Amino acid sequence: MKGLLLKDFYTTKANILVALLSCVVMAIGLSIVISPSVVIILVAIPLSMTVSSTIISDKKNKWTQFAITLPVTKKQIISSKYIAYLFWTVLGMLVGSLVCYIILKVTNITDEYINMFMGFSIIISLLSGSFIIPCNFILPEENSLIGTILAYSMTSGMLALFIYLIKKVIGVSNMNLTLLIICSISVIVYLISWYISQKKIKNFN
Amino acid sequence: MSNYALKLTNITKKYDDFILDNVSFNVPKGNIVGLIGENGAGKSTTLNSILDIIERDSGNVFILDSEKNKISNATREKIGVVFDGNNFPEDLTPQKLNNVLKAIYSNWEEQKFYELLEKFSLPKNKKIKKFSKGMKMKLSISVALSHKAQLLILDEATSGLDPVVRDDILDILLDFVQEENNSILMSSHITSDLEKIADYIIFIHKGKVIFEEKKDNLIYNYGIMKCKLKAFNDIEKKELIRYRNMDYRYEILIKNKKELEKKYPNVIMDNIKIEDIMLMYVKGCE
Repeated sequence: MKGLLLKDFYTTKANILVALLSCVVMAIGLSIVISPSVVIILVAIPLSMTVSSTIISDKKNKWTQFAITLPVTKKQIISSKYIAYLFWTVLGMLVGSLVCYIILKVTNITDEYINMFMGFSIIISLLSGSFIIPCNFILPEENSLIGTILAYSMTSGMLALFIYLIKKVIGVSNMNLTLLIICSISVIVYLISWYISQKKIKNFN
Repeated sequence: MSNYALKLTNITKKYDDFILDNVSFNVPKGNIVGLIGENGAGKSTTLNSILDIIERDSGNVFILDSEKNKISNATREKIGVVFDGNNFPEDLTPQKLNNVLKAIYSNWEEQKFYELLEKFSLPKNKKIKKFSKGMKMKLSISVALSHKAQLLILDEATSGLDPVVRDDILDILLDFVQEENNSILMSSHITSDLEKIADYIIFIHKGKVIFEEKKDNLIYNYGIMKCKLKAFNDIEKKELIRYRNMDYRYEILIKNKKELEKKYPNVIMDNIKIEDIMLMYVKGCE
């Protein structure tokens, strides 16, 4: 498992610097228009998405096939992606938060949306990851884009549904509490996806 | 303790357009076994089902004294695998690959890995994507030989390589089987490579094992008879395995070369190469 994570770390690190810098620059630009805390979401999500790219590139260069011949189980191969996804999401949120903090310090303004964007970062990352990771394992690499579109569509739909249900059915109108509930649900969905993927994905397409 | 490094019994895998049909064969310890067959014959499917890359519908695989049908991680430690082309993330360097594999194989031999890199003149710090096909193949073989493997499984490991690199690789493989417990199962289109190093040849055609023979038996016992129609009609049909009608003459694949040479003294009897046998089975008539 450690070796699989190390391999993902090396391959992601090799490609991430330029992508990360672009995200930060774009996020700083957008933060002037929207809110500095938007940086958190704009760094965390692309960073977590790098795991999806590693699954696709693993297939392309036959590492997935080779990994099955190594002394690791298929469950460990799948779990390594879920762990890497969490790692990059958390790192993205930390980097985003740091950039946000610097912007707030430099501009000397306050931002009441920090909690909201933090919450959305966790929700969107985890919900989309719950679908993208298994989709990328199951679908052939040429259809990986379909998996990504499907994952984000499902995420948007679920997010809208959760907000509606929490407001209308449970009767909670406080945004922070709503986000906290949806964050908890996202964590559960992510763990369920992890569990099912380990159990059900036998052939890596 | 079994005499076989690998034993397959009745492996079956069904696809919509292809069936791997009850494939059974053995790889005796200390031997090199060549798996031959045309494209799509089922060689890679066989190797992939041995390695659990694809799930087989039925049949058993026993590897290196492992009694369980599923390969355990302990057994995987002892199997070195080389696929056609690159197996590794292209952004890694051999040095980083060493760090990755060191954390995966409990028997990883870092020093041996670096020695092999040096022997093959492979740079430690160059990204794999900048390697030529031959360099990538040498890297794969270096990896396969750096964790005390006892069984190497190679899928088209020498295809697309120039003769010099191929010869280097064949030498390495011959060195590997000098240890009596080490064995190799190697699929290849390049039958001349197998003629040089294999002890046994298994021929797969349309998902079925057609024969499993000692290479020397194939070379010395099989032959090609060449004759005109009249002579062809005189030959007992039970003696011909396959034949081809080549415009003005017949070419006939036969088994007991010496015996038939005496029986049909007026017919030309040629020695045979593994490639000829394969061609006769694929293109010839029964």
